[in-house]
Amino acid sequence: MKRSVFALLLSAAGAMAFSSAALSETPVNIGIVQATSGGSAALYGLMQKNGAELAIDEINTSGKLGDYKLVGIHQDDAGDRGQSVNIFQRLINQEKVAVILGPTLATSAFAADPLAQKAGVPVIASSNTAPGITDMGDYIFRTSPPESMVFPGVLAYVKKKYSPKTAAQIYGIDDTLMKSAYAVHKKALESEDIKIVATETFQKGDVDYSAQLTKIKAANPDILVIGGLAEETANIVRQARQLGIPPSTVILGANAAISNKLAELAGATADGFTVGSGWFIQYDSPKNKAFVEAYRKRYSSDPDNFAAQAYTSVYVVADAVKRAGGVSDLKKLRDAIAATKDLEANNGSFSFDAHREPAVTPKVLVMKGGKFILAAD
Amino acid sequence: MSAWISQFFASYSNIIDLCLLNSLVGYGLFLALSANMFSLATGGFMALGAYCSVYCTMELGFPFAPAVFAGALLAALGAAAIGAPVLRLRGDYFMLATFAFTEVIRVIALNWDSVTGGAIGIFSIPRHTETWHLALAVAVVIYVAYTLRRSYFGRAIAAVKQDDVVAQSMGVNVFMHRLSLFIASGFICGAAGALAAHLNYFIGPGDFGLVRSVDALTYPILGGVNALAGPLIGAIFTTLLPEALRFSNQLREILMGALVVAIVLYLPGGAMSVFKLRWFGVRAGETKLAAATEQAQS
Repeated sequence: MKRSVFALLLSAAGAMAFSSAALSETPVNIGIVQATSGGSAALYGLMQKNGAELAIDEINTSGKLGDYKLVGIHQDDAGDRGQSVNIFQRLINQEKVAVILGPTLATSAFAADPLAQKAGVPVIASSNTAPGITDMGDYIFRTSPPESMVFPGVLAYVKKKYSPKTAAQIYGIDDTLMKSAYAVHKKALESEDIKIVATETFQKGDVDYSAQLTKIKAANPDILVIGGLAEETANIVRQARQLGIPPSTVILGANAAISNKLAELAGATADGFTVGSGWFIQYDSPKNKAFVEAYRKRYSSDPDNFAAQAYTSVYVVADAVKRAGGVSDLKKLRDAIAATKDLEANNGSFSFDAHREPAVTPKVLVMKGGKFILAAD
Repeated sequence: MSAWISQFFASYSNIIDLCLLNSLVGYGLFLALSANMFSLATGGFMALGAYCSVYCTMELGFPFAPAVFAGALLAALGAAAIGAPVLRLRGDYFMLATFAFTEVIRVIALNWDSVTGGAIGIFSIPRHTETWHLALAVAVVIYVAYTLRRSYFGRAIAAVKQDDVVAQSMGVNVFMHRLSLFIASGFICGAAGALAAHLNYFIGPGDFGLVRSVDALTYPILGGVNALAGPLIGAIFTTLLPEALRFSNQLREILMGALVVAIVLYLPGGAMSVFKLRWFGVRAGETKLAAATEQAQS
């Protein structure tokens, strides 16, 4: 008898505590699945975690969501697919997150996203650029423009400016991202009627590309398209120039090659290197300037496009929470995210297209004096 | 209560699945190790099992069970094909040859685009593997290992492990015993690969490389090569560790490494040797014998 009275009191106290908390603020749990350990994935993961956490704190301090408070729950999947699935299960069933940001790698996304799709929890990726990500279901979004949205724009710019007739391609054959980037590049070249005169490959960890580049030099292409990550691309660019591929041969890179590290490694040889991106650091808008400044102040380093895209993802969520009137109904939240239109973001105005891909205008960037600048027509 | 259980299961079912899957691989290695075969072919066997079973379910429209069986069979064939020449090598050479096998399979998977999807891998694989499939497979393998240890075959293997020259002189066909055990190990790893492929919607060549082979070796070695429960304990421990240490972020990898080193240093017979020491400790007379056997085996 005594015990039941005690239990009753306890539950009453609990109910009161709960209702008073509900009155002041409702937490909106946001799962952040980014690799912060485990090799090169951590480079991209850490940037996105930083960007997302910065945005969460900004939104909470601004009070623009009223009673709703965003709570970021970061979990490290170490770039390992099995762990991504473990984390997704726990975030969905245990932490009852309203939305998941991530995961870092596309291979993790292919394993983990179907769980969220099945459970009806929206996922917004900010670094997956492989094709097929959003095809997994109507709850899967991304703020990172896929290579197929970026590269044709870059090529069109190069074609207009230099009118190339022939091209050579070199790409990483054992990397998921690079192999799909290669296919995108090839298709774009073919549709622009540029003849591919040489195709070479390399593997992860290669540092010497002279054999492939000598063959490419012999084919004498007008442009060279590299499907590689930042470090590999930097080495290829440097060695290509050293081997005597003339500066008149314009070198184009993949979206994933954009990194401040590229200029460091390639030095002056990288001048004229052309890429496409959804965002770049000197983008001239008050929103972007505020973002870059806040990021530098908090982390004492420059943000990259992945940090910027993760930052945008959080603002997309906040905006959708506001329009959906809360997170009690995740279907409504999904619809609100899908309806995101002309949201003021750090790369201009942000919208999702009908396939839940970012409808941003890709910018063509050219390396000059160790910095990426917007390409002038 | 039942609500609590179902929520627990929904949150952690993948961890349970991974524990069981790794245990299965651990027992595959356990068989090989019981005849002193330090095999790095696990990754290759799993790749054979995975790609073959996925091809069967997605291209040929096989039901799940025959597809897993086909994958396991192909891996067993692979084991026979490399085992026949390679098992005449000993020690480091055997290890190198099995490592080369795993690499060859990985490179084939990377370049045979029409079947394996190359570096992009295969996605949208239907999810067929249920937790009970894995539990059943582990139970069967434990039972097989248990009966094998008590059979004539098992005794012969134990003799081969102690000293293969002596075993040979006593009339044990060392080569055939090793080969059949290696094929069985390949079969189990192939089945594990097939089950793994149908668990997480996606496979790629990177899943079955050297890292997978080395991880697989750590399960039985950490748990204990001489105890029947060793691979199970080792696999569960190594699967849960990264989850349990998640709070520590960057420190996680350092902590994991340190724990593994500590176990190897202080429990060279594997984690299960703790129990052994205690059981034998009661019967004081046998302690020395146990220690002597341990030494002879190491």
